[in-house]
Amino acid sequence: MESLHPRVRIIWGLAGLLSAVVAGLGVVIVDAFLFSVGQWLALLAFLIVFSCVVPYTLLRYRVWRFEIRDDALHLERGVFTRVETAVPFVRVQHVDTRRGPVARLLGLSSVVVYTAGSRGADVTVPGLRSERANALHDRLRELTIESEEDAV
Amino acid sequence: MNGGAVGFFLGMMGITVTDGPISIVFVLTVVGFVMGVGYGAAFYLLFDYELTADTFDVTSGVINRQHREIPFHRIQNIDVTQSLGKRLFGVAVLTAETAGGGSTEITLHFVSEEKAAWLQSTIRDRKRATGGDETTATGDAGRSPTQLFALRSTELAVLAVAFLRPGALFIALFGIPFVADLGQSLLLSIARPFGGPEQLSVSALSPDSALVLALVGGPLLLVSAWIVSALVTVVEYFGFQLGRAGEDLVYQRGLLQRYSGTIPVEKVQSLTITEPVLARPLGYAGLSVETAGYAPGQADERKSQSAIPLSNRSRVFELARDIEPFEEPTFTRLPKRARRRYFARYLLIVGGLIAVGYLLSQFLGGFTLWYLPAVVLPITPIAAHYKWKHRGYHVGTKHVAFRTGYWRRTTRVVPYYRLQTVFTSRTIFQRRLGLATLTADIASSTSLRGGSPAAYDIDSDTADRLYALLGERLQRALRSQLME
Repeated sequence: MESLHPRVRIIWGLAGLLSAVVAGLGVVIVDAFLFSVGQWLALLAFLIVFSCVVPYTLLRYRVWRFEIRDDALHLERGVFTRVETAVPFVRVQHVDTRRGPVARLLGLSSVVVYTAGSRGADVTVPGLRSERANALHDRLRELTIESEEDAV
Repeated sequence: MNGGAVGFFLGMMGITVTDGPISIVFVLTVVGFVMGVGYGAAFYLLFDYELTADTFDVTSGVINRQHREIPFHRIQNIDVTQSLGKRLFGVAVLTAETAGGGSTEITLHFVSEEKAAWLQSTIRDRKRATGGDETTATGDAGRSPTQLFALRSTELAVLAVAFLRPGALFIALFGIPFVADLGQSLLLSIARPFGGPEQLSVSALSPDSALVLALVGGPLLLVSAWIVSALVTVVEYFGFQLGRAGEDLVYQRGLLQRYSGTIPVEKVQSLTITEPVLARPLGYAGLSVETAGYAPGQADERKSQSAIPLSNRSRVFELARDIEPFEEPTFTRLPKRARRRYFARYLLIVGGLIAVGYLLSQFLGGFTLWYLPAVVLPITPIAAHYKWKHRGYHVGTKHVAFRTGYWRRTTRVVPYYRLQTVFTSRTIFQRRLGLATLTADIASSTSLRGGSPAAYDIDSDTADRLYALLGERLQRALRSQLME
C-alpha cells in the first residue's frame, strides 16, 4: 500500500500548531474577561496541546495508507479510531483535485472522490505530490469509466 | 395568498422600523398588502405547466422568468399534499422530485384534487413508457392502483401507543403553555411526599428538592409527551392505504392533512423493519423504505417512507419481500466481549455521574443526594445484556441484514447491488477487545436518525472478512445484473 508524501506532516503540524495557539488564546480570554486564572495557564495549555500534536501527527502519517485494487480504492487511516474504506469504482460520481494555500507552497495536492452515499459521500486522499495526484485522478477516472461500461 | 401575508408582514415591519405616525404605518401596511396580493396574483397568472410527450415543463416567475423541463424518467417521487384549508376548497399541492438537487424540483401550489390525482398517475405511466424501465412499458398497469394494505383501527391504536416520537418531548415541554399551571400544581403535589419543594421558585429550591422535582418531572413529562405523540401519530396515519401501480407503490394518509406519495420500487436502496419494545410482544412491526430521491437536508421524515406503519410481523415481511425478495434472516450474535463492553460503558456513565455529583456536593450547600445515580447500578448488567441480545448481522445470498436496538429494534436489509462505500472502523476501546464496526453505506440513507446500515462491535476478523466479502458480492451482483 502507498503512503502519503512525508511533507504532509508539515501541513498537519501547522494545523495542530494553530489549534494549540487557539487553546492558549482561549485561556487568555477566560483570564481577561471571566475570572483570573493566571497568565501562565495559557502557556501551559499551549504546551500541553502542542506536545500532543507532534506524536499525533507522526502517528497519523504512519497509519495513513491507500491503494488502488481491482474493483475499489482502499484507504486506511486514523490514530484513535482506525478506519478502513473501500470505494468501489462503479460508485464514483466524480473526482476532484484540491490544493490549499499551504499545500501549494509545499507542492502537494489532495484528491477527493465523491460517491452518492451518505456517510462516505466524499473521501479525501491528502498529501500527494501534484504529479502523483494528477496521475491518481486520471487513473480513477479511467477505472470509473471502465467499470461503468462493464456494469451498465 | 402567500404574497398577501408577505405584504402584511412588510407592513408590520414598517411599524417597528419607522415608529412614525399611525397613518404612515397604515398606508405602508396597505401598500405592502396590495403589493403582496399583486405579486401572488401575478405569480399565479404567469405560472404555466404542461405535460409533453416525454417531459414535465413548468414556466414560472414574475421578475425572473424560468422555464424548466424534467424528463419523466428522471422524476423519482410525485407527492400530493392537502392541508385542511386546501381540502375545504378541493385543491392540493403537487411536488415532483428528481435524484439530484438540493430541493424539490417542481411545486404546483394550487391544483384541483382530480387534476393532482390525474397528474400523479399520468406522470407515473409516461415515466414507465419513456424508458424508466423498458421491460414493463406495456402500459397494462391500470390507472387505479391495486390495494396492498390498509391500516386497521386496532393497528392505528397500537401504532399510536408503541411509537414514541422524540419530537413530542419538545412539544410537551414548550408547546402547551395553557396547561402549565395545572401541570405545575400536579408536579408539586406528587413531588412533595418525596422531599420536593413547597413552591416553584428559584429561591425556595434547594439542590436536593430540585433533584427530586426533576426525578418526578421526568416521568410526568414522558407521559405527556407520549399522549402528544399518540395524537400526532393518529392525525398523521389515519386512513393509511398502500397500493401498487405498475412499478410504483402509492400511499395516502392523514386525518386533517391528506398526503399522498409514491415509492418507486426500482429505486429502493434498503428496507427497514422496526419493532418497538411495546409492539414486539404483540407481534407487530413496521416497514419503511429508503429511496434515493429526496435530497439530504430535507425534512428527515420524508427520506425514509413508511410503506406499512404497523401490522402483523408476518404480513410486514410478506410485503417487504414483495418489494425486495430476501430470505428470512437468521442473525449471528455479537461476541460475548461486546456485552462486557456495554456493561463497562454503562458502569462508566453511572460512575461518572456519581463522581460529578460528589464534586458538586462539595461546593453546593444542601446537595446531599449525589449518590442517587447508584440506584440504576443493579440494572446495568441487564441493560448491557439486552443491548447485546438485540444486535446482530446476517449475510444472505443477495442481501446483508443488520439488527440493533432494544427500545426500537430496527432490522435493515440492504441488497448487495445497492452498496456504495464499505467501512470498517475500530476505536481504541474496540481494538483492545478485538472488535470492529462494519458500515455498509447506501445512497441517501436516513443519515440523521438511523445512520448508515452498520454492524456494531462484531469480531475484528469477521469484520475484515465481511469487508472483503461485501465488495466481492457487489461486483458479482452488478455482473449478474448485466447478464439479465
